[in-house]
Amino acid sequence: MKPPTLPYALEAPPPAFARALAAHAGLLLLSAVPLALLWSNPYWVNVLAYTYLFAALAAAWNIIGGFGGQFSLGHGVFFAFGAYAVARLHLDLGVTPLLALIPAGALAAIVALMISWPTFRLRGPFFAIATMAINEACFALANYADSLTGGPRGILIPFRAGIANLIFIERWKYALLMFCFMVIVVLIVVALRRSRLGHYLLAVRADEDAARAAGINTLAVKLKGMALSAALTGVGGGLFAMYVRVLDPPTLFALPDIGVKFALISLIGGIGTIMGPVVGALLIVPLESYLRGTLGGAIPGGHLIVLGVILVAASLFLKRGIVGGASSAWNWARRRT
Amino acid sequence: MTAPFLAIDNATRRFAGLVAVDSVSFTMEEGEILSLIGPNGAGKTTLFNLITGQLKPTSGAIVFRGERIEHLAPHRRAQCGMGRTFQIAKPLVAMTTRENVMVGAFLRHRRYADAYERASLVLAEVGLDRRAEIPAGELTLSERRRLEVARALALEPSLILLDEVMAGLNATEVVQVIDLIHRLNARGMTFLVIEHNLKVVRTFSRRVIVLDHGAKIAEGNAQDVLSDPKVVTAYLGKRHA
Repeated sequence: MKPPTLPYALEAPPPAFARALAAHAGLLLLSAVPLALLWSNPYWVNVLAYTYLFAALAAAWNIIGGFGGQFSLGHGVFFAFGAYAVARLHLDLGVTPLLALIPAGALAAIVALMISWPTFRLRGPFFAIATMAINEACFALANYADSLTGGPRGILIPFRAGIANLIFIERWKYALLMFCFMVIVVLIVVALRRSRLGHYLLAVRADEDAARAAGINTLAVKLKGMALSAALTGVGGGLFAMYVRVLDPPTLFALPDIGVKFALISLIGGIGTIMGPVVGALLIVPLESYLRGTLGGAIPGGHLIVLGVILVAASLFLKRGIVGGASSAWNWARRRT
Repeated sequence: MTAPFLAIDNATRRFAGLVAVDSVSFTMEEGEILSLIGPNGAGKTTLFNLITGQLKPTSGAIVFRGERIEHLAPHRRAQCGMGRTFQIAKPLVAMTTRENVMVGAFLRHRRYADAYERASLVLAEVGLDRRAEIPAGELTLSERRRLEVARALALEPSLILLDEVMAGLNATEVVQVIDLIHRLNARGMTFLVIEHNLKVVRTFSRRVIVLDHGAKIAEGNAQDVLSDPKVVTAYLGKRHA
């Protein structure tokens, strides 16, 4: 078929990619302000390191969980594989963690493809439950695989400071490292959102039948999204390993602290939006740390009750999260004027 | 003799005991507008789904541009050059109107800028260019129907299947859609159309196929078919025939 002739001159050229990147990088720089102010306070530096790391991990989860609509609760598995891969390569072969992050990400992606191939046949809540079950199965296996994981006692990575080991005496450097990781992940998501794969993931989430009719191989698209999401999660796991330096199965597989939290942060910040996971992490991680400190002694697990209430409220009143809600309000206001 | 553009050969689809499509055969020439009519539940949409791959036939063959396609997945058939709309419009929510069309355009244009430009052309073609940047979920019914057509057009198909794109539209909007079909047809695009409005069918379709209870009961010139007693009986019951 001949292409339709242009009825009139093409109005606006596509928005420039460089501008989108710069705009998001600018927004991310704002989230570095607390670090710039609090860099000498060890408590806050620790909270911020976790905040940036979980912002990055939630943004990685959001690729398949938000854009692709596949609500995985098993991302703890990819996180753990990344962490163990970096630790083992570092301890057994003396590989610098900086390089070990690459095989860690690749391994997480391969594991993700193996898990997803069967579970993508399941839809909606059944997929979420299946991935959660796989997380729990891997948790149990990690306790038995003594030679790899150190069993329930875990792995201890000795403190040898140096950039090559990603171990720092100054704690703020960890926070800066996590911040850089967050920037990289978010900019990857910015590029993804404009790409063919990004559009296809959103189409698959919206309507698989319509997506297929538009020539989309829905299974292949979901697998690609999952592999990218898991690879970034595995890299995050590797950074986490060098930060905490004590890896035992509960630290890596506990659902409320890892697998479910990626989803929770994205949901509150704005599922399927670019900045939602960052906003969610900036809110949830410091709040959780504060609640753990104030409620922890009096009511053990009390912080989980508060987080649960926030999640229920968010899913009732802010279905598209803070960023989704804000952008709807902005569009509405703009059209009224 | 050259192979027909599209040939359906004894296509049958059973759902347990029900025969939704009962050994239907017909062929289409390139560049024609063929209408598929029949009372509710006649199997028109099921036949559409067999052609586009949403369903696989229980038996029978479908040949599109010389290739057997009945075993191909729907996305492979779209790659072969088939575009379709759905009876219930499926705007892709959480995306703008333009992005909806870009989802289609990405099939033939991998680069963002190319898909963007392609989407602009198609949006202008269906008259949605002024609605390009709003969320697709906010479109009106008539706009959603045009968006369905736009997403299919963006695939640059040689055959396009329209499933009741005019249902629920007012007279002006119906004329707009008919104009669009004529314009695209004049450029060589082939149409297979499910349509309830028989007056509309007469205006754009020379050839009509009538389905009833899954079987083809009539085929031919629109005027003749619509006065065929079998067709009148299917639509209105025995008393009127």
